[in-house]
Amino acid sequence: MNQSDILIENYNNDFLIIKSKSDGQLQLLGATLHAAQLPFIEELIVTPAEICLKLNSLFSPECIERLKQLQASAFVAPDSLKLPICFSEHDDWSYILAKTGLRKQEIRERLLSTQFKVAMFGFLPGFTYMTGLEPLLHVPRKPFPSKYVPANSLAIGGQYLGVYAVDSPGGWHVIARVAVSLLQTHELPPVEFRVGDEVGLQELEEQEFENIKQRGLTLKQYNAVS
Amino acid sequence: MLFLEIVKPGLLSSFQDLGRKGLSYYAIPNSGVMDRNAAQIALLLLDKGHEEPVLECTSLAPTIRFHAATRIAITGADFSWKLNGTYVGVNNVLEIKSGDLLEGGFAKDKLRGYIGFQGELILSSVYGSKSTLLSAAFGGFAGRSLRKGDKIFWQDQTKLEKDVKHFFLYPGPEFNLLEQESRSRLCSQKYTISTDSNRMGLRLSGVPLKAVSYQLSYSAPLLPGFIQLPPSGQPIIVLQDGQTTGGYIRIAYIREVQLSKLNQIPLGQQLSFGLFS
Repeated sequence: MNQSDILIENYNNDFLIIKSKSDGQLQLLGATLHAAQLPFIEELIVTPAEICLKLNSLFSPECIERLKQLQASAFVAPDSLKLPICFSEHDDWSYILAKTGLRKQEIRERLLSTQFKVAMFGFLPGFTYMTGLEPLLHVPRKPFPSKYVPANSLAIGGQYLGVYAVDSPGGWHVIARVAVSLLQTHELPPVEFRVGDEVGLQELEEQEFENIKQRGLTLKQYNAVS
Repeated sequence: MLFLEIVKPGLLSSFQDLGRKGLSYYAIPNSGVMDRNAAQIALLLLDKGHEEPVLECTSLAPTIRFHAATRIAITGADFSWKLNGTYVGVNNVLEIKSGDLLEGGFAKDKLRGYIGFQGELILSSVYGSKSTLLSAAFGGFAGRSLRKGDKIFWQDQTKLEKDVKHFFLYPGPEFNLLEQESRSRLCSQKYTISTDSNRMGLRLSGVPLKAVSYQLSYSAPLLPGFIQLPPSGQPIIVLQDGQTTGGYIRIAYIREVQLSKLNQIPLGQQLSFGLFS
């Protein structure tokens, strides 16, 4: 890796936080780290802004040199995928409308014409973070997270668009339902999206939405038939 | 000075941990405790990490004089252990006062027993392990089995362990976003464990903490033990089923080894923090 761009913070030999000055570098480095299966790393969490390495007792400060010598993995060409959705009448809309000062129809059109990009996976199994959301639509997360957000909810929070793949608590504002289930529980990786994939939202009529949902298609299957 | 003194060494008493891994290539044996299960029980009884060293006793027990208060756990073979002349059994945690004498006889049922210590023993670490390797005379205490008169020192951790609901915090990535007054408040106030805590997170309630900002512009990594501060000012400790990323600031963390103790505190009860910086 390009060492001048990389900052490694060591938290008492419990975990390391790696930051980078150049955009996109951490995703590639994260893929390399995951493939390298280094013995002193117990958990690896990769986000565009930070990589977190949970360390075990095999870690010593010299290991940081080994990290610096890793070469970022090769760039993989992204897929372009459609995410079938149906905008909902969720209560969270009122906050979004008040905060942005836009009408719902306006927001729908903006979202439907945006090319999103898969930025990372995190939070809970299957949760997919996408960037590309217009700054106008960046609204703060809820001060008190909701206790229940149903699986396959599309939501916005800060700079991200995201999909809740399992029922969970959540601090983002729900705007739509997704017709396919992102989480493939017995597969690894458990989601068919890859970081870097381009995503367009595809709005379905209520009837069509229910049909797709009934068929239980995966994301890739939906894109193959639609 | 926190130390114990070996009055009688027993037959073969040496300090061992889980041993050295992956060094057979260099003709360095694994070493480590002979009965891992019994050794782990001693550490578990003390809420210690599974890789900490214990004293392994063989066939005939050592006699030990403690010169400082501490807490120990005795497991494995039953050596008819006595503390100041009173039988204490095995698989027990014993509160030790300065001057206490621990002694035992021959192992009754099995061969090897273990003594775990609350304090952090000051031993020699070689290739990442404190296990004594008798043949090469390295690791543990002077690379050998204990002898009469040996003094073994430890660093005290009993202060933090006395109060079972007190936890040490380490500053997290966004600790600096906490306002100065809130930094001290975090460690001076008692927190109540909120009843809406679950396996994902332990929600605390106290006087709200103030931060310069509560939300990160990005979602950042989270590990169990990390403490998030949402805009409500009430900290949330990430637990075993916790989310792997989140957008609230990460003000502090508690070490994984403390989570067992934390997770056993009933909802509605109180806990407190101290800052390790």
